[in-house]
Amino acid sequence: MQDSLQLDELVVKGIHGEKKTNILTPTDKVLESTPGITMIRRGNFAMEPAIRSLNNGQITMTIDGMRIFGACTDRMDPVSSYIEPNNLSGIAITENAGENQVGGSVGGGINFKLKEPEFSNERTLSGSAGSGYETNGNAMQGFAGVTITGQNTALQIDGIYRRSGNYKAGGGDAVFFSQYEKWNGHLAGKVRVGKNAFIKGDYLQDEGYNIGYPALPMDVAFAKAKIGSVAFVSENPETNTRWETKLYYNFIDHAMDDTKRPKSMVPIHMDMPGTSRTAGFYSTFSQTLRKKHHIQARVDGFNNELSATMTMYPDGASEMFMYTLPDLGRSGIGAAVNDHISLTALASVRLSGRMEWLHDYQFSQAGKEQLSGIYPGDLSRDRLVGNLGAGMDYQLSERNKLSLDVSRGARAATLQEGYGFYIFNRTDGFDYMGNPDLKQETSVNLNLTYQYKSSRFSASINPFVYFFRNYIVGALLPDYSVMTIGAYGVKRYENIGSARLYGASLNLVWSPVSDLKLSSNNTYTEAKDRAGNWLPLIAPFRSVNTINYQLKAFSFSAEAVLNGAQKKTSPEIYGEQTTPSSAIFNLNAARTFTFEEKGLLRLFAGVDNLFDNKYFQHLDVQKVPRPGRNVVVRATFSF
Amino acid sequence: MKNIQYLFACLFVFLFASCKDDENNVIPTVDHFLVAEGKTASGKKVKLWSAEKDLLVAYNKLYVSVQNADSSYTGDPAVTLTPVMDMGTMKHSSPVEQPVYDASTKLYPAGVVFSMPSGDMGSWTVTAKVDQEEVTFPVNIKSSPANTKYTTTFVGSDGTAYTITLVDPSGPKIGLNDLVVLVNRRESMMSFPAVQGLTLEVTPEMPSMGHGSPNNVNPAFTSGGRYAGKVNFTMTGDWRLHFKVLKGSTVLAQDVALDLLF
Repeated sequence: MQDSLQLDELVVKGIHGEKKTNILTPTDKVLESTPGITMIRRGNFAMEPAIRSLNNGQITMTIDGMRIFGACTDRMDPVSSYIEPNNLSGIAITENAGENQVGGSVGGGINFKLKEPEFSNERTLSGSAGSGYETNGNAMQGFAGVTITGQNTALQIDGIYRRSGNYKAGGGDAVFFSQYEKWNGHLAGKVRVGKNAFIKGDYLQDEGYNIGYPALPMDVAFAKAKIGSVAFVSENPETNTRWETKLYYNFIDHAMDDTKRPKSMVPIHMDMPGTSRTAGFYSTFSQTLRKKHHIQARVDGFNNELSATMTMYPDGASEMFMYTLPDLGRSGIGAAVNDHISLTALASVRLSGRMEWLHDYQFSQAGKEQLSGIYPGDLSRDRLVGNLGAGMDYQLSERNKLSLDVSRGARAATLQEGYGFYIFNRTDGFDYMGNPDLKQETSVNLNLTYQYKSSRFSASINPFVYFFRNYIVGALLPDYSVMTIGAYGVKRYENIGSARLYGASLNLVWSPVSDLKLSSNNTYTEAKDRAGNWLPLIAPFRSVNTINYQLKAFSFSAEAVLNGAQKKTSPEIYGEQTTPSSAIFNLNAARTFTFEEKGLLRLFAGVDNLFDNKYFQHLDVQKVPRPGRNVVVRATFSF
Repeated sequence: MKNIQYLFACLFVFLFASCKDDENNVIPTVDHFLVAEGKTASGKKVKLWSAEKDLLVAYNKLYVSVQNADSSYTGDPAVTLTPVMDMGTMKHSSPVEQPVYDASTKLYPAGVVFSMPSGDMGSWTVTAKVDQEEVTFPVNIKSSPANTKYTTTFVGSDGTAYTITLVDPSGPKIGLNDLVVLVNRRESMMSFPAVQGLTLEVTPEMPSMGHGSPNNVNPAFTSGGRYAGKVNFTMTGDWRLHFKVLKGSTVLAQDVALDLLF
């Protein structure tokens, strides 16, 4: 199933309410309020998304179909941290590995679709700008964007700046090293080159500075991404075809920093820079035949190179240097097909698959020499990765619909899991060694969705289960001594025989009168390995309940976010502690002013964590408390 | 006119150079450094070369060349080296891997361990004995860089004084390195014979971090007084190699340390 979260259309759909439509909300917070997504939190910046608790290499994250990989060894920079809502026209989430066209995964993927200006018969100019302020952390944001459309050319520019100081947890204690500052700019242009064809170009630059990570031993001096692409698109409305071929390149430059921490927190000062470079292409073709048969095909290729180093400066001794990612590369070529066929007016089937060939290698002699101390011989590896999916939708009656999905997913180990060198994992406190001989992790996923929909009430219930083979986890290496001062030991990534994840979601929307809407999104997951140990980073029961009330140009909403306690942990195996339950209440109100000539002004005020509760959630690394009460005011204007 | 001068100059250089290339007169084509040269009583030219610019308190790779008075080479006379530290009140030598002639380079490669620096304490000489004739070279031995210790002496549980000296890695790098150490015992102040048949266990450590490294291979006896294994340096910086030394099942020393820095 392809969930589409059209950021500009949320208000129209009326599912998630005002909060998510606001372009000033950072991408990670937009994702966090999406049902089925949970976030791993290391600070007040760059939370890392998980789909049904599956994360990192288990899912793919792409920007407009482009492969891009974070440069930080400590996962401080998930791809979602380099894009902002103002860059996007939508976020597409696929939990079905077989339907994930962009890459092999066991848990699906998230694709951030970039905004694209449209051609128009007459030249038009439109724009938007806005600004916001938050009391907690003395945070501010400002954005502006302009779109020019025309018959043969279209251009769009947007940019955003945001900064925050240290926020205060519930009760008023400041959480030190939770500050950040960033800007982001995006330029997109299109030129028509034929009746049904155009060329488009995109350039996105995103730079963060002085970013605190209170849950980690280091902060970030800078995190910079440069993301560019050129595409040729041919669309034929007569044949219902669209064919897009894109060339792209992106570069991420990331540097961790401990110089702002007090000396007592820094046993040894160190520099830990990392870079990620990805070049690639893809070509997608889609066609709808007789309105009943929608087919999508894609071929693609990419090459990603990661390099990360650590230089330590002990007092009174020589500096020490090593690679944490010893000049690693991965090349891949793949092909994918999705086919959606309506069998009858009531039933349709979906078939999908992807095959990809991956080649992992080291691109420098120094990198190879360093790993020679751990693994003998040539460490390049080749893999053939296959994903398959099949689904069926059946309209049982006018109000009842049933969907069943089966998918087989597979993924290669990430380069960090394959070749990382003493990378400290704050979640369990161990140094991690890569393992080039990891087998592919595979999953078989079953998904059942039952939907009921009437004019005032809708409900969907969705049980799911994943059966994993060769699940990748860290296993203790008893003879290795730790590199990171204070680490408990050294682990190496290993395949464990099998693991299981299951859960269900229940979504209810009730609209007793037309201006009032109550919704409840509930998700539960749990996961165990073969030996019966609870797997780490699995979110407990979560329930997001919202009341929206619309009164002419005013809208009000109240939200209760409930997280159950997570007691299903295996501290002795995976180093994870239990987490108590939490309940947070948010309130907000907005007013829209529409101007006669042209233009729309929206004022927004809200309070997050109304009762100033001190709390954290299960996926919050180091149990750093989340922000306490926060008053948010925003104004956006568009014309 | 100027051009003709250049031409002559070039011609001269060419003739001179080609003369040097004469088959029998090859100067040791070495990127080695000349340490000292001298003549034996019978007029043989004896030169001492070093692989490194400076001679250090360490294992030093040295080379001897022996030529006739006319710079031609005459076979391969027996050559031995004896380092001597003259401390005024006493003299002592140090371990040596004696020269063995290498016909391809016409050099005698050797290894000499200097156990202390030249200075106020005393001065070093190296005496080359060529077919019963001796030439003595004064040499200047510098301390190894700060925070390094490439050779050390310990008294074993058997009461014997041993030296253990790092031969390789001479240029350590991150990753798996060949490890070669030389073990000698002090028979007298002037005699340091090689020791065979010990068991060595090596444990690397970074003293400024307190961690070690995996996948090291204990050095095993090869020949002379040499023991070869592998050492894994996971990063640059200060490394200490801890050796446990056993003779059969008897522990001669629990922890003998050498220090490297790169």
